[in-house]
Amino acid sequence: MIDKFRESFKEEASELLAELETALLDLEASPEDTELIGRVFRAMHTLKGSGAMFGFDDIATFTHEVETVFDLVRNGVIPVSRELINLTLAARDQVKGMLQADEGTGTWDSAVTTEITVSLKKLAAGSIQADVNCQTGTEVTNSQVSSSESTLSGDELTTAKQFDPSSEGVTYRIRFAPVENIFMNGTNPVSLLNELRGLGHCCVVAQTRNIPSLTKINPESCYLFWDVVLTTTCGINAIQDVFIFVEDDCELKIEQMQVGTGDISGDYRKLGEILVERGDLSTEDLGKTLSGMKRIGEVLVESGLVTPDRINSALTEQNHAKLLIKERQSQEVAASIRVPAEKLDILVNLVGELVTVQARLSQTAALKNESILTSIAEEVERLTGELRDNALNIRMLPIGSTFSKFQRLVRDLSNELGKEVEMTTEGAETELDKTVIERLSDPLVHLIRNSIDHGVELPEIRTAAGKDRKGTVHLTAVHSGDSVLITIKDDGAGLDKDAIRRKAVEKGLIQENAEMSEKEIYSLIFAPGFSTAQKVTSVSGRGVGMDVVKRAIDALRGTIELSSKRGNGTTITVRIPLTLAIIESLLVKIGDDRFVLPLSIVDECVELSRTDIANAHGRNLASVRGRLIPYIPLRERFRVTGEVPDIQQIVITRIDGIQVGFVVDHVIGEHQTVIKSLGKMYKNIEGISGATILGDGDVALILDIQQLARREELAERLAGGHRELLAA
Amino acid sequence: MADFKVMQANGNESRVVTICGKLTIPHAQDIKVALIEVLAMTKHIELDLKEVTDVDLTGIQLLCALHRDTVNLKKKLSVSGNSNELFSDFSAASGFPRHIGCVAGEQCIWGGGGN
Repeated sequence: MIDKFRESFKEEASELLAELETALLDLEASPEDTELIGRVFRAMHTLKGSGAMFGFDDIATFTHEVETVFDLVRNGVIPVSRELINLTLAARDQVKGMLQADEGTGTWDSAVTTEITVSLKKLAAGSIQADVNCQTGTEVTNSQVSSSESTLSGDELTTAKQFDPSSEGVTYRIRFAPVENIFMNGTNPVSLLNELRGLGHCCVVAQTRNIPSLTKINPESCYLFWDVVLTTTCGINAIQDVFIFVEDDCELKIEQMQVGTGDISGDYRKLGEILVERGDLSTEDLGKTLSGMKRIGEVLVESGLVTPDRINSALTEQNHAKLLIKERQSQEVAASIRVPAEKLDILVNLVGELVTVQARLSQTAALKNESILTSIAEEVERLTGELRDNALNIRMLPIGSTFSKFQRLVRDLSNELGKEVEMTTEGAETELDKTVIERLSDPLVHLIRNSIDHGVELPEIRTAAGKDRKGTVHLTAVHSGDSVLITIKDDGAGLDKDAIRRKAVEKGLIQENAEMSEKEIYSLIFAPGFSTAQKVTSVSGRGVGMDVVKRAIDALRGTIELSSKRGNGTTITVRIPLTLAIIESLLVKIGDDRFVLPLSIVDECVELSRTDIANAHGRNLASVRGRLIPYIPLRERFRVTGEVPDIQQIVITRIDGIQVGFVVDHVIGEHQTVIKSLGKMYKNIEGISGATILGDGDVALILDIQQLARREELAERLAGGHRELLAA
Repeated sequence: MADFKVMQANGNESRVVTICGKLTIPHAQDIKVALIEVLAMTKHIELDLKEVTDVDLTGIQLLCALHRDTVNLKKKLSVSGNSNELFSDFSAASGFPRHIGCVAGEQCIWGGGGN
């Protein structure tokens, strides 16, 4: 049981750490933003509290130190500085290390903890004494903050902000209704009330109406709830922070009150209105009590002060506001639930199976031609379609979480390299399948590292070239059909065409006199062997070959393209399918076998007659509207026997911006393909990336178009080399 | 339970009840039992709290419940010894002083109230 709680703490903690990192980076950009300071503080506060609760004492102690400093920042005692952000980021990483050490996947050094703590304290020193010990609001004596209360309340009281009644604060109405067993988990509501008093001018009323008679009372339960009116300059977040540890154990309502500036003693609301507003008296009961009197509207109309239509209008406004509030409340109730990813994977797998069976049902219905069966099949098809979309949708996550990780990368890397780089992002809300996001992260890290390392120049060089000292890397994500386009654009030096060409010749990738377009030259950097490193990892990075990045993108059935202008920067465009589970595809036939091609890369289909083949004189080239397009005869590649039809079809695809055709016997049509892996035995077969089960129960292989094209290219190159050797 | 004790001094119509020690959660059950007993025995309870050394919300709740029961049973409760620093500080901190007593027409034992 305890382990389960610890697990859930770790899960929560990693989310908090991510939130912390984002907030810190944002804070660095806008140091005056009190909301961001609040976010950092709350993340630390929660880490500390939950950490202590689940026995992560090291984390609790450490985060306490950081939280203390941020409390001072929150109260305006310490300004946000780069040093503070650096230290806090380091602290965040240290906490992450501590968590990983607990899982056995890492280690942490207590010396670093001490070092960070000492540096933070040093930073805070000298500015603390100015702002301590300011008891405010009603007279709470120190004796009330007894030692039995949590250290939290003590700390917070000592750093509480001095409330100046003459300054303009905001007045809140707070209802705090703890659950009955609140005493059992060691919470003392009075200490929370004292914390509220520390925030400003505060009136507290304990509500005792739920206390039962002596015979019925459970003396260890809490029957009290509190109404608090608090005027403070600290903001609603500070109030919420007070209840941060009991938010699941209480009903908390915080409302901002419309108290006019300054004068409360004058014409404040009527008693009835306040009671109604607080929910202590229903409007009906108030109405009943007041039934002896005429309604205010009627009185006003009779006296001729207000016309009936104006009364109606005011009533409409009232209703509108009520509806709005109700709507907002119901939105708040619609919460989310946390489900393990494996459960979703199982769901998606099952839906995949269902889609396959449904296809069989539709096919059978079509064959039988029975109207009842057909109508059932159609209904099942519609429902399965919706179910499929919904199931896939559940696994969709916004790519923004990955983006924020890159912010940190850019910051650290540019510091390390002495460059000034700013990362801007667009489309963080774009959604992608969870698995895709996870597998996309590392390749993107490398692309961004490349942009900063090799693209963006040093500040001096940029200035000399008439550019802004600060370089930018712009990251965008946008939906495009059934894929997402991710672009990484830098305003750095751009690619050096000649240097790439030289290196490619040096490595034997191209002939010295090869005729190549600019695009083809750029795509050489993705060629295997252009660089030597083998594996993509999130920590290494520099020196890692772009071919590895390309392989990772290929594995996601994605494509990568590159454009660059010398001196102006480079743009890398990655196209990734939304999901890996089910794809829209094109079903084709060669002999008796059927194959599937991902529809996203198909441009068009054209016919290939015997005459066309004869006209090409043995070269695999087809002329399509005046353009020559190379093609791969799949029948030959897969050694399919049998008679070749008179007219074959070329499926023209676009791979890395280059058109390549694939010759098949017959194009059957579009197909919803549920991807099944081929299992360990056939995992590494070239040219095939998976399989799918067709409606009639047959298996169709999914073609790995990129790999097929690459292999063909290689064969061509080797053949070229042969020819040269023979000629020599 | 050395740090908590309820003493009673008899009289036919009224009974003086002195609570000594800690009026807190560890003793809440015992306090409840003692108060029920007293309530059944007499029409007028004179509660003396000056010997109380500590109080928490559970203690206050029990006294409120007793107060309410006496009102409902048309009995009488008078409280003394609750005007010391301990009680005034604690009831102020926990928000007990009020304008109107919680039982209609009755004065609140924590100060203020009455019609």
